[in-house]
Order: sequence, then C-alpha cells, then structure tokens
Amino acid sequence: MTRYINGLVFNSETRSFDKQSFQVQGQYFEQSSRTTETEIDLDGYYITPGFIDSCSQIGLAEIGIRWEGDDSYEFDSHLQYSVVDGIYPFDAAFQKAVSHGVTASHIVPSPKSLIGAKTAIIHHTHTTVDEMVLIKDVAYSFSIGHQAKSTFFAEKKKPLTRMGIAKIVRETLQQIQQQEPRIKKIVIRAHKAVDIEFVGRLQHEFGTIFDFHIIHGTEVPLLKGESFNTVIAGPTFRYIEHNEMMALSPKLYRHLSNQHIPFVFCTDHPVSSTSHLTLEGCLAVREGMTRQDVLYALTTGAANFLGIAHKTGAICDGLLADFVIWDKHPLNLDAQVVATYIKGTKVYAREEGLTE
Amino acid sequence: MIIYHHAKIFTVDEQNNIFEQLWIEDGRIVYVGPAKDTPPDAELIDLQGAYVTPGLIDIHAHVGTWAEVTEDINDANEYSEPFTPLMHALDSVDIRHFSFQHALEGGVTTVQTGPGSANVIGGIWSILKTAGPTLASRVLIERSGLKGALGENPKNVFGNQYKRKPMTRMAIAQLLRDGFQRASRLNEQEQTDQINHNTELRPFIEVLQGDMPLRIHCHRADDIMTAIRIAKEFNVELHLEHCTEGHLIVDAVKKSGFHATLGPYMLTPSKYETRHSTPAIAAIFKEHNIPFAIMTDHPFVPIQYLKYCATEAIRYGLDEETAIKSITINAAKLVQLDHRIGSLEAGKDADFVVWSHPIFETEAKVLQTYVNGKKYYEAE
Repeated sequence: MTRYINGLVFNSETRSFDKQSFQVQGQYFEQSSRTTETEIDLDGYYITPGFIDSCSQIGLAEIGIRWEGDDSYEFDSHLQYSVVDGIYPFDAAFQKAVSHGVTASHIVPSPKSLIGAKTAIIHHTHTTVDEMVLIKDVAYSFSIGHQAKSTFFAEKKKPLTRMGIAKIVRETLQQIQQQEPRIKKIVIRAHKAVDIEFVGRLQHEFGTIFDFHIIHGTEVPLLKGESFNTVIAGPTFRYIEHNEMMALSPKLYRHLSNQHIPFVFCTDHPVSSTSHLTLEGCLAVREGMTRQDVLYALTTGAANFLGIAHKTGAICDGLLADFVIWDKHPLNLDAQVVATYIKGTKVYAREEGLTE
Repeated sequence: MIIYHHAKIFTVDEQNNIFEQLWIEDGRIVYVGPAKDTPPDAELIDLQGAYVTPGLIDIHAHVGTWAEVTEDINDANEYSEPFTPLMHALDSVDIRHFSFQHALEGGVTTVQTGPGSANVIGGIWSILKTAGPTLASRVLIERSGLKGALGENPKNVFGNQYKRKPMTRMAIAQLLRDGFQRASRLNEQEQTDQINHNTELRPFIEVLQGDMPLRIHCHRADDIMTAIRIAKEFNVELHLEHCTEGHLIVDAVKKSGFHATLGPYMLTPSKYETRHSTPAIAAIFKEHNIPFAIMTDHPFVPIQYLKYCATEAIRYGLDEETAIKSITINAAKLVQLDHRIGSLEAGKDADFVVWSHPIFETEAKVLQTYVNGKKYYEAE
C-alpha cells in the first residue's frame, strides 16, 4: 500500500484541484485502513488521472519508419479486421505518450479505409498487446469523404461518389447488425458538413441499433440545428492536407462547447503526435474553454464516452491507478510530467523527479 | 505619428525591457520606452493593457510556395531533376495563398520561403514580409540562400520512386560538390559572365563569393557532417536546416562554427532519419552556445503555430528568453536582418503583435498583427 499525500489532486466531480491524499494498492486506487508501507509527499505537484486519447493510431502506425511499421490500412475490407492484430507494443511512440501523461488510447485505423476495422482501447505499456487491451471490439470505424474517395480512385482508377459511399456504408451497417450484433458504436471520420449531415441521416435510419459518432468534425460549426452524439474532435494542430480541412481551427472547440455538443479530444497520432494531446487542450483553453472542462474531457469525459469509466479515467477508489504527476498545472504550455503510473506501476519518471 | 500606449511592450532586444509606449511613423518605430508626453498631433491608440511582442520570424517555412490542399499545385519541389539551381522562390510564391493569412493570424510577420527538399540542389530561397500589396513590396532579401538536401528525401524521390540517380548518399554528395567544383575552376571574368547570364553556376558562384549561404537540409548525423565537410572543402558559409540529430554530435556542430534552424520537432517522426527528433535539441544547443532559430517548416507544422514550437522547447528545458528570441531577434540575426526586424527598437520596421496575455501563456491569443506599421490582422 502506497499513500500519496499533500498533492493537488484533480477531482472529477467538482472538476477542480483539491489538496488531498490517495492510496494505491497493487493495480488500484484503494481507500482502506491497511498499513501504509510507503508515503510519498506530493506537496506542490498537480495530479491528474492519466489522459486518454479518443482517436489514435499509436502502435498501429509505428513512428520513425515508413511502410514497414504501418498496419493502419488494408487494401480491402472485412468485418473481422481488428486493430488488436496490428498493434506493436514496442513502438517508440508509447514512451512518448507516457512521458506526456497520456496513458490510454482508443485505436482507430487509418482514414484511408472507407470501412476500417473493429477498434480497441489500450493502455500504453506492457510487453504484449493482449496485456495492453482495456477493451476490444469497441466500435466499427468508417471514413467518408475525400480520403475514402481518393484511396478508392488510386486503387480502381474509377471515381466513387458520395452516393456510392452511402450505399456501401448502409450495406455494411446491415452486415454488422447480422454478424457482430454486440457492437453498437460506430465512429465515422468526417470533415465536411455534407458528410456530417449524412451521418445525421444514418443516426435517423439506424438509431435504434447503433450510436454514431463523428471523428474530426471540422465543419460542424457550419451546421445549424443538428444534434450530435459525442464528437471526437480534432486534431487541430496538423497539416491542412486537403480541401475538406480548410476550415480547420481550434475555434471548433469553442463552437462545440458553446453549443453544448458533447466532445472529447484526440491527436489521431501519428497525424498529430500522441505527445500533443495536452496541446489540443491548451488550444481549446486559448479559444475560451475553461481549464476544468478541458481536463475533464481529457480524463473522465473520455472514459465515459469510451465505456471504460468503470475501469479508469478518475482518481477514485476501485479504479485502476492510472495517474500523472505534473510540476505545474498540466495545461500550462511548459508543464512537464514528473511521473506517470499505469495500473499502479511507474512507467515514466523525469530524471530528477520524485524518488521512492 | 501613431502612439500605442497602455500596454506591456516586450522589446526582445539586448536589454529585453518591458515598456509602456510604442511610437510609429511611416512604418518605422520612432520611440519605444517609458511613458512620456506625446506630441499634440499624434494619434493615440489605447491597447487596454495588452501585451506586445515583435512580429515573429520563421526562417524555414514554405509559405506561399507549397499549395498544401493538393499536390497538383505544389510549386515547392521541381521534381523533374535532382539538380535545379536556377529555381527561385519568387517564381512560385503566391501572395494570395491562405498561408500568408494564417501567418498573420499566428503573429508571424517575416518568413524565409522557397524550394523544398526533394532535390539535392533545390534552388534559391527568399525572405519576405507576410503582408503587403505586391510580391515586390514584401521582399526583404531576394536571394537569401542556395537550398540543398541530403539523405532520405532525394534518395526516396529519385532512387526509390524514379529509379534514377541519386540512389545513395555518395551520389548526393557528388551532385552537391559538382556545382562548386565547376564554379571554382572559373576565373574572375568567367564567373562574372556566368552571373550576368544567370546560368546554373550562378548560385554556386554567389555562395563561393559569400553573397549568400548554402542552406542544407540534413537530419541524420552523417548528413550533417557531410554538409559541414563539403562547406569546409569549398570554404563557404553553411546554414544547417533541421539538424535533427545535432544533439547527438553537438561538439562537432559547435566546432564547425555553423548555425542551425531547428525543427520541425513537433511532428511525429515519419521516417527513419527523423526518429531521434526531440524538442530538447534547442536547450542542448543553447547550453553549447550554438546560435539557432526555431522553424515550423510550414506546411508540416502550420505557420500559425510557430509560437507553440517555441513553447515546446521551453517544456523541454529551454529558457523563455531564448525561446522568444529564437522566433524573433535570433532568427533575424541568422539572416542578417537584425538591423530591420526581430526586436522593437527605434529605427526598425514596425512589425509587431498584440497579444491578450503574455505570449507563452496558454490563454494568449493574437489580437492584432502589424506589418510595416499597418494592421493586417485583427481577431474577431
């Protein structure tokens, strides 16, 4: 049993930092009367739950290498494809992630695939992917608009229209209903307003069976009166790659927040870097969001959306001890991670950090 | 005369003062300093307690040349040949391209732009203001360097994709030497003729004569050393572009006496030669007193995020003063423009940015951007 005292701990209910202590027993936060073996004084430090990236290709598209480590896109589509079969636990990006306080990611395949694969949520440490998986078969991913069209054209030398994409998506949804009835979440990469409207129609047609969630949502601010399930917004810190992204701006976060549209943050690593998840949060703060709301979206909000709130996402008894110690407020642009813990084990420590 | 007052004006010069008043006339700074009595005919502008910095400078950004949204109109890389010394930034810059607007939104008032790094010799770079009615009115330096590239980019484009020379680093070095060898064999009259006729040897002669530096894109440690080796062979001024593994050979870089523009370390390493990329390089270079600037390499990191490239260096140990200087005055010094831009001092161009908070705070937004004393951007 280790007891951490005097730190400023992020409270997910009040969304504020309170000076309090917490205890870790094995893999879990635990408040018990058992004898404390170690006590660590965190006076002056900020402690948050581990940050969760709601859309990432970490481990699926290895950094520092090209095609050899890229397993994010398959030529054809198959309902049995699962990201779990493509994740490489020794991708250098995992170390980058934990050194920036990101402890878990929702793994979604490349935007190149119109029909992607079954997604999964993984922790950022361990030697085998099976140990990393928090939940698999979370959702089915799709990607519509420019990316899907251009990939199709590159392969078939024939155009694929939005009408053609709509037909394929609808047919696939019917197949998922028959073949994988357990999966209820559908995540769809879409930038343009016209594609986001199409997802609205799908919600109307298939709403009794599936919940649809937009990834990116670049042109959401252009839509009037649409209702949304949780949007996986961004990333906004990235290269404007094609016309559909011309409106890309952190102002998106201000709009979602002002319109009370529920949303979570992502980097879509390696598109932005897993290490820039807090940067997306900082850009949202710049655009007028409160720091409290941003921190909540990066932790408990993401865990709720991804369906892992019973496992992680808050510093709360009975949950896995995924937490991060920061030298200052985590949304300061120069904040550094002092140490990161996953399931109670220290997975990263700054050299001159806390000793135990 | 326009006088901006009721602000915290960061001069970012040698003294690095914070003053209250900035006086502008005809696009130049006439006075920056403590509050004093203002002339009766002056127009007073109350900045309501905002923060002012010099306009930001990015000396490695393909603003206006790299079309971004579609490769079809990418005018930064002349892929037809690996050796294209006659390409000139000014022939591909589109001043109406949205990247100039994005630059102003991010407080960037000066950029060095031009050919990319597909070719061993890519062409000539130029330095421009990010606003002004015509291309000519924006030019600060028409020929600011001969851009070359070593390593994976030329190997990949020519050897791997086009199945032609150069396939190896050996051929890349030979192609780079070739221009200098041919140029240095000419006598003075022949060199003058080549310059007058604007031949492909002209840029090499200009570099040999010290009129502009050689600017070499190099990531891997061996490529950095190859650039240094060739520059020393021909006794020319070299500027290291990217210098990604510079921290692994920091003593050798220091010994060379050459300077670097660091980045874009904000990107996920997408290829083998950038796998050791780290924002810590800025603090390491500072520790070894190697002069450097920080780049976005726009569009790879969008130009409006130049400030965040500097804050990431702070997160990795660089001090705030050096961080802001690396995107203002130190960048200006590295391109010999510190007499005109980079700090807020009397006599310099009135390029400045008004921020809502101190520049490196999370909440800091660009409220206004001025180039040559004229407001070109205002936040909604």
